[in-house]
Amino acid sequence: MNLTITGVEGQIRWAYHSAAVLRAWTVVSSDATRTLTASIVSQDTFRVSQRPLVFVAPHAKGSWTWPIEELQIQDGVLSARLGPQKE
Amino acid sequence: MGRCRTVKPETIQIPISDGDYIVVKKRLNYGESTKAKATIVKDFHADGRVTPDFEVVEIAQVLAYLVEWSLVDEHGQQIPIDTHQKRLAAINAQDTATIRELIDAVDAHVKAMDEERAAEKNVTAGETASPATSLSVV
Repeated sequence: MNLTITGVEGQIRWAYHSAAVLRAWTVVSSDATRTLTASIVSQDTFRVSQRPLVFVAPHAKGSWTWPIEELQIQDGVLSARLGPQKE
Repeated sequence: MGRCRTVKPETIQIPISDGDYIVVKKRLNYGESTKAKATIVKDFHADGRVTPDFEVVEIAQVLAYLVEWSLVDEHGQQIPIDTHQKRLAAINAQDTATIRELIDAVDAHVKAMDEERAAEKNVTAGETASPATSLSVV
């Protein structure tokens, strides 16, 4: 069964640096895989090329964080394979 | 092969009073360092003089280094400081003694990191320097 989470704002971070600002993101979780797709508002080309990166999605009581295992950016759209959500 | 000159985004947690802590960048990179200097300038004049921004002069270093803290609001919620604007607003909302403590803590951290780097440079220089002259046995 697929679980889909969507959000308006999100961010790709390299440690404490913002590597990309995202909007209209979707995380689809099925079995052991999680996939992120989002539009890119802005990005820092150098930071996006660094590792490790995490995807941070704010919510009413804080934020969710997922490690990024694989990342692709094409025509302003980011798609990524995410690892298990961090506490 | 040359050394990696990119500043790794590492952080250090520094305890402050009453069980609170701050998390600071271990080092600033060039961009962060330049930005920190720029924040203290309010106006550039045609004759080359600058007017400092007295609202941030004292806390510019804290603004540049601070990444996270344990400080909470009246509801016990951690005060978010994940953007420059949030950091500035949150710092301005604290009492003077707290900010003085943060300034001192960050100052001490910067001094310690400077000393650590100076020591590292000495070690590296000692390891890699070629002797000015060499002897050969004939």
